[in-house]
Amino acid sequence: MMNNIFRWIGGVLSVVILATGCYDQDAAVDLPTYKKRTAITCYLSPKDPNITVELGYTKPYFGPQDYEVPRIGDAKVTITDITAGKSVKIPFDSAIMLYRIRAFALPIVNEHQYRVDVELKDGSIYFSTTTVPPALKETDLLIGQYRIGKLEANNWGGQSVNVAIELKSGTTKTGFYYAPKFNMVMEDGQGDFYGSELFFSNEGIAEGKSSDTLRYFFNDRIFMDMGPGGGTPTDPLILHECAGTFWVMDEGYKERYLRDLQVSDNPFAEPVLLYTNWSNDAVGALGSYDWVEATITP
Amino acid sequence: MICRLLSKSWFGVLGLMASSAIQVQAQTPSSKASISGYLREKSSGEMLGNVVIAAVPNASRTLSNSYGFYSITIPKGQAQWVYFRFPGFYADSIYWTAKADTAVNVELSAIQVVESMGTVEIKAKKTTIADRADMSRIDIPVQQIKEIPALLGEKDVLKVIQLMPGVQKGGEGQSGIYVRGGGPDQNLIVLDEAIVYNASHLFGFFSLFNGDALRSVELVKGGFPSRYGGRLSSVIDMNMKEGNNKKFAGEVGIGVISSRAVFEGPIVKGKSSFMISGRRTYLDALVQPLIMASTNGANAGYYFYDMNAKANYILSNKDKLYVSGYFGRDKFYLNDKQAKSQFKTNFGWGNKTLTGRWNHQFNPRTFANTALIYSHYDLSINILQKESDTSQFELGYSSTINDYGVKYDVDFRPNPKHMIRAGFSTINHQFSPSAIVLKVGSNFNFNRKIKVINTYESGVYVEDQWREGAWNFYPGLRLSHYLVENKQVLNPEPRLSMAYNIRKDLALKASYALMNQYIHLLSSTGIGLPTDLWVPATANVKPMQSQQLATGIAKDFNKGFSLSVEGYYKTMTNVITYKEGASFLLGDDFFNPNVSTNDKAWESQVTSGLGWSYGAEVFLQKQVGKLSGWIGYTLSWTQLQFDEVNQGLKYYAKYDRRHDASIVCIYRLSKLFTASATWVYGTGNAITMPQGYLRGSGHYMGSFPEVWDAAAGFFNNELIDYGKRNSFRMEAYHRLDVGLQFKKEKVRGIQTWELSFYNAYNRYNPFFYYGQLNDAGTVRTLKKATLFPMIPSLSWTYKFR
Repeated sequence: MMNNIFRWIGGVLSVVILATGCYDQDAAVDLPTYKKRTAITCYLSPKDPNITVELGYTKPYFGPQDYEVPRIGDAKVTITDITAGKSVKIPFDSAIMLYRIRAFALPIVNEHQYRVDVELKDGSIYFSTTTVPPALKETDLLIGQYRIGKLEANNWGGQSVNVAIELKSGTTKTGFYYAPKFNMVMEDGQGDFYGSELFFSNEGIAEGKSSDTLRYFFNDRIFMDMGPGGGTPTDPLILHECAGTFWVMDEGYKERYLRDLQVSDNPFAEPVLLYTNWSNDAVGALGSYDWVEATITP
Repeated sequence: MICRLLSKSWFGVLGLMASSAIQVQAQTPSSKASISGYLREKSSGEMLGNVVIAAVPNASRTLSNSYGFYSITIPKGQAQWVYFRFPGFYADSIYWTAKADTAVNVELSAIQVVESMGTVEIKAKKTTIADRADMSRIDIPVQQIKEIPALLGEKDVLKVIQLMPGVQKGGEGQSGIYVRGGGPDQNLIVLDEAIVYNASHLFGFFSLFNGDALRSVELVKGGFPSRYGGRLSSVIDMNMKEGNNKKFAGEVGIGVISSRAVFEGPIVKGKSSFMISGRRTYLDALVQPLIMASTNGANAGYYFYDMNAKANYILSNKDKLYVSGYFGRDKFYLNDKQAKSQFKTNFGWGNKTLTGRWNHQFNPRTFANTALIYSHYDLSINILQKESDTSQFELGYSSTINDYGVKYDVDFRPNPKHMIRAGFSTINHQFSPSAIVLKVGSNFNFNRKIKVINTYESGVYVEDQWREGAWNFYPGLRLSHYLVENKQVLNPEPRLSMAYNIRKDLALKASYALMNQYIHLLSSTGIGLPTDLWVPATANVKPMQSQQLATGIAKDFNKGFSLSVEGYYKTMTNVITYKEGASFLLGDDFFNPNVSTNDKAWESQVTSGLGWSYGAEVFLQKQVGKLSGWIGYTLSWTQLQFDEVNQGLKYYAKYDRRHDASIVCIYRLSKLFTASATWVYGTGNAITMPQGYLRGSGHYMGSFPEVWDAAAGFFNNELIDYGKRNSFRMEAYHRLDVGLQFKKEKVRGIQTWELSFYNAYNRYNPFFYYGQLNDAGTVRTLKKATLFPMIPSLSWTYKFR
């Protein structure tokens, strides 16, 4: 909706600007200075059977371009479970161009703290730490209040319905971030089922609150497709269930995740700088996450 | 340290100052006599501020205040010539024997333009800059604003201010100003004592202030008088015209994008007058056919209007009332109505100010002004989407600020050595950062309003302009008080300006000022959109503070030239900015129930840090004569540092500008023609540009979980490495504007045609940069977009009398 408005404003301004003239041409200025930086990415999860570290470097943004993915395969990569006091070396797998070991070599355990160390051939050293979030239970997310309106004819010859659903969390922990990724299923008067994805503000990511529940509010106007047998949905619509996953993540995972989504083409907006929680000016994230699958009913 | 030292010693200085004033007052009735009254412009009756009043041979000097009030006190029995001098006006004098207090109102005649074009020499001596204690202060001549060529012919006060040394503009065509390293929110913009928040029209391309309605414009960049407070970097103090109290007069003008008119005249001749001015753009009418042609008959457009009005009434020789107001609004509208559906939106923002003032003269030496002030700013967005008669979606969003203030100032002139001012002000700011109303169909309503934040900002001040031989002192102290959420702060703000006259026309100057600011502007775009959010300092987001030291030299030359060279060093604390990766659309939180209506979502989005700005400014000005104008040059550095931005490292502010220069020339060619030219140069802005990129693996949460598997094909996730914040410099900006005015006397007035060329040599200044891949995808080049090429404009003005 807001996009529509800004598109129209942009249109009007464009007419004004075009009337006066707006020109594009090559810039007569030195290109931004490129500095080759080491890039390290690693996400840890108790659900992941592998421990994987991706190691490479950045390429110049301007000038000649190619599609090669630059990788570093001769580094020494080590992961340490600080809580358990155990450390293993992660070897480079040239088949997949990644550093990888099976997780049973060093189990990833909820609420344990891990450190990853990388030492390049030239002696450069990088490290970062993460604490794996606490485990979630299927009962950690409930349906709070919900309201489903009446079907209304829309302009495209179909029907739409207004739906408001609130999901509520159980106990959460500060310092970690929680996000529901759920679909809802409605049942119509004829017993047919209709599904739709639930979207929440800020990707549904909210910081845990030790003293209160988290509340996720979905409110949208949903276009109703045809039913399973080709029929049209009929009133009354009721909420049958919500099914999906409830996620929990640490700061590193959350920051990297959100910044990936915040990349904007607006030339006036302050660019979102690449997230890093690695030492020694490396770019990338060391993050950890977990999830639980759940089907919740009203 | 400096601050603590000055704070301690300051009370002593103020005590001395007050006791000396009291002593003087005690002597006055028996040994001294005062001549006092008001200074006005002869043809219109407009009050004249900053007129130099000098008594000879006593050698006493003073200035009239902004209400035209003057008072000069000398020992009884002396016979004196009292001179009144003001640039652009014939000097006047009276012979006065100081036997008793005497009230004399003086009217000065302006030197007519037609005369100054010919052979008549300007005899009036200008106010010399070497003679003034204050520094970093510039009076912007309103007449010159009208003669300087402007974009699309729209005369703009703020864009003329941008041509002054120490003041930088924002982006191309923008009216936002950056003074000595401060952001656009650090400027106290005051119109008839009322604060104006968003001072721009058309997304920043034009300022709110219509030059036709203004009597005076003053810019203060440092050494702030203690009567001003609440902003760190500058004060732009504007006063509207009072209106001609002798005869009806007016002016109408037609330009490329707007038309304007101003009317003024007596209500009761000699007692009361009014002034009303208005301006409206007709961009919407011009672009409407294009929009209708390019859409399916949609009605869309944009316009702005503003209106200034003022009236005054002289109750008695000692009392005068003023009421003035400003009303302005920008509006974007769209109505796309089809057979069954409709999409309609209004997007508007505007300011309103209303000021009531009462001037009272207690005695020949004491003048007081009481003001009641109201200021309002609002932004509103309304959307209606209708798909059928029964299906519709309505959204209303608003954000407002209301200010209610009272201000009291006393001007006390015990003797020619002292001009003491004292007073207080208090403002209740009511912030409503966002309120939203949503209606979907007939069965869903959603109302959400972030709780109104009430803050109280108050100040008590005393200041003195004190002359002692070759020394001029301007000490002052302001105690600022701020109350928010049951928490309060009291901050002493010492101020001092001083000057030493080596010769009559040569002075060394220095100043120190400590300022606090209790309001912040959150801007996510950097181009001054109305959606930028004004928010108060809170218990969690502390007030900003600055300290500024400046030193300089001022010299007056023959033929009306004056030169000032100043150096400054400014530190700023608790400056705020968005955190890296913060959500730029606070609207994300509209529907977020995890944010309560008592929460201030923006608090978690910002981080506070430090700022430094230092540099030197040169200002060579010529205010009178056939050739007038100025040359300004600034050499400056501005750096910022935030713990949570740029990995905690210092970086150059976007508008850090190593070199900034402007040359403004107005030349009266003949009785009929006046030519003008402006050339500006500025080092390119410091911006953040892509340097490198990496192809790396992202991970996406979804309803159907996958483990993170970099090997499984997440390699196409291309992430840009911008390097350090603002580490890239744009190309230098330069531009020449030229204008030619043709004035012709008609029976009932003067007609003026103006032809001007903005960006006369068609320089492609960068508006923004972007990277573009060639068709084969093998080479990416850096491209720039330019907004305004050479733009001619023609306007017509008729001033009738």
